[in-house]
Amino acid sequence: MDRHVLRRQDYSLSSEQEQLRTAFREFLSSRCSIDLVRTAEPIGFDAGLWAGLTGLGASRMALPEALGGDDAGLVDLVLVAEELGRAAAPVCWVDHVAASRALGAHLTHVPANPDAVQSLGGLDWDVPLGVGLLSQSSPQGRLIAGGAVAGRALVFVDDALELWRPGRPVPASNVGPVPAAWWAASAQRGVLATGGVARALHRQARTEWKLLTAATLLGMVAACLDDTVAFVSNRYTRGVAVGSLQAISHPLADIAVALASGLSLARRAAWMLEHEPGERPDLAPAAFVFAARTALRATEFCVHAQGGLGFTTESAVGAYFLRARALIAVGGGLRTDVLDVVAGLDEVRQRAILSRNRGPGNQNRTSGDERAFR
Amino acid sequence: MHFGEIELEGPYAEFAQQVEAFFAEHAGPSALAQEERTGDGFDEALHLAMGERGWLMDTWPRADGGAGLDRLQHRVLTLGQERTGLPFTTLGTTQLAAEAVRRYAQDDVRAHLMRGAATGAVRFCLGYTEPEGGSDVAAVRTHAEYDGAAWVVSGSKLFTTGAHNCQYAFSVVRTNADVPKHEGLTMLLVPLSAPGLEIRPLRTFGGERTNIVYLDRVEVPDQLRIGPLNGGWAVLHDRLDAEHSLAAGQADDGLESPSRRTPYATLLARCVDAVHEWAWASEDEGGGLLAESLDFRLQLGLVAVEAEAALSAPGHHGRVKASEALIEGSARLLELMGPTAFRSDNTSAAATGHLIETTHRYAQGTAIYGGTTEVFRNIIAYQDLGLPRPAYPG
Repeated sequence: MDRHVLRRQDYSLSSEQEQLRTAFREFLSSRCSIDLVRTAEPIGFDAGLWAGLTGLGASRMALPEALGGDDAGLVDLVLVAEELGRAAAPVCWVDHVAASRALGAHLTHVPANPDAVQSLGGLDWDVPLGVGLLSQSSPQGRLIAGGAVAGRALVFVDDALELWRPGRPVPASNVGPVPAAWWAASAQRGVLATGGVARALHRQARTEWKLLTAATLLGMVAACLDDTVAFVSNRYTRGVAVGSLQAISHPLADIAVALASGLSLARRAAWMLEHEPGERPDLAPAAFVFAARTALRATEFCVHAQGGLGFTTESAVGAYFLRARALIAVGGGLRTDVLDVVAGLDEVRQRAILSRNRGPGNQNRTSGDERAFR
Repeated sequence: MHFGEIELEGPYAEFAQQVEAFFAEHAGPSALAQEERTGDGFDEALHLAMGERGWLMDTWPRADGGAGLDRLQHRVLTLGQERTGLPFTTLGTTQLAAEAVRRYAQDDVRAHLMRGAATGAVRFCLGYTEPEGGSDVAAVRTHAEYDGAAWVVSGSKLFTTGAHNCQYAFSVVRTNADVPKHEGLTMLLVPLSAPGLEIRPLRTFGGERTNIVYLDRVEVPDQLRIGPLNGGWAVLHDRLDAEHSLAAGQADDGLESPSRRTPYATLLARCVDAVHEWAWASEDEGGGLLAESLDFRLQLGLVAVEAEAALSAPGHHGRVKASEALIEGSARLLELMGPTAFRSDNTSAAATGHLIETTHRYAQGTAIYGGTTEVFRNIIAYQDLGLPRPAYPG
């Protein structure tokens, strides 16, 4: 691909975006203390916090206007996800947003088959929606992000998009401190779409979940970095602050570098997905892989830098450490995302070959070294 | 926030065509081959041709020999330069010093030097580092004493890249040894043809030719002092900040790269694309297409991820990220290519291999010159994160 295209490189936030971010940051700093995060840990969800976020409009902001939402763009959603990550908010907002955007897009464009929704008792957009992104099923059932608390879940099964309602009793076995759960196939199911439509919606939901989770993970890194900088600035060894030692300060600087790089990449990926979908399919998975690797390394070092105290169940960084790993696991691990990056590069390459071959005088050109994709 | 393609119209479109045609004519394969042979970071014919168009000091007004380019035109020109794959090292150091000349030079020489920098007749290299100094610019030992007629300079300057193609070394020298080390420094433009000055080549395994400059009682007229006597630290700092890209990224019109070092990330992305292309025409051990091998895809994907992160990395974060991603990423690509990276036959596979192999060697220097990545980690640690500064004796 041409890496020297004249594109704007404007990473700045508009005043509306700054306001959005400030609104969530202020709400979360008053309503989501680390104590609340810990208290919510057995299931990873705090109903009061979710209700508060719903009051702020967070549950419907991603929905199309036709369904009563704000039709927020991915860049705005990424900013909110960062803030929720920073607070380690015990809610399943990203799962809810990924599901409601795919569902919203489908219900707006294809009003057919409302029966599938009605047969499950309809939808309340303020009740957490889960999403089943992974195609594999285990003896425990299908892993549903947000499944520990969701009333309904959008589940991708083979070539179909289904809406599920959990069987009774509702499974409560969440993944670490993240409210995901395995739902048994005995759940009530309604088919919403099949074939190409279902596959496209699956891809959309998966891509957007990864992108928003990338932002969540980076928000978590930002919080860990702040917490650790404060810690090492006030701990002394041999008369000097631990944080003045380069064995501590340089790894923290590396975390700051990765954080700044990752946040910028996540925003660029969001902007491209929102404004030029399909142009750079490699970017969103790249943002997720980079954010995930950054979160793994950063939480590791932040725990280490806080010594034995960082390792206790009372440390804030420990809570972030565990949550980061669980979130990445719920996404299916990183392997498929690395492969998605290369699949994205394949698409870009294939498009370039097609446009070259279609160029003037090249209509029938075929070349031995331009092997077709798949 | 905006990452859209900029559609050029009217005079801007014409300008872009001029830039494309110019570099196609003056910076084609033979210029690249010459650069690879000499490692000079300089091509006199190209440099002078740019000077004829005012493109060396391109944003300066025409009256000063520039082309009066606005930010969009400047971006178009910069992308045109980057696209050539040439390093433009001497142009970079000349621009850096010429800005200092414009701000701090004395009236009787300023116009002449600015005009020369703009036409290309006057080039500047940097005389910062010394054999015992490394990144600690304040520890310079090269000293100058005023003998009533001129400054008499003795000492040595290391990594004076381009000195053999330049007229002056923009040099930091000690003019007062009795004050704290930041205070006794002065900036001089040392004429590189002066008696007592010797330029000795020093080659890097990255392919660049740099130099060591020895000064034995070299006379420099006071007119070539840039900025106040013993005020060199402030002049240098102004320029160092420019080189350290602390000032970059201030405007939010999106017409600047996120970091001055973003071109290293672009280079890595080009390498990823090249290896990706190569793999679609190569077989793996089992006879299948390499590009379809799971193992290959996992490794290439991780390098692509790092390249994209580095492409987005802002300011001095980008200084660290772009260099280190290039070093690490090119190492992984080198592993993927195996012996192909060292072939010299006339095939596209060998050409890709050569790109990766030379890039990996070149990459090592990018984390060193212009202040090592450790210098920038210190800046991030103390200035951005507010970590406590260590107390060092020096």
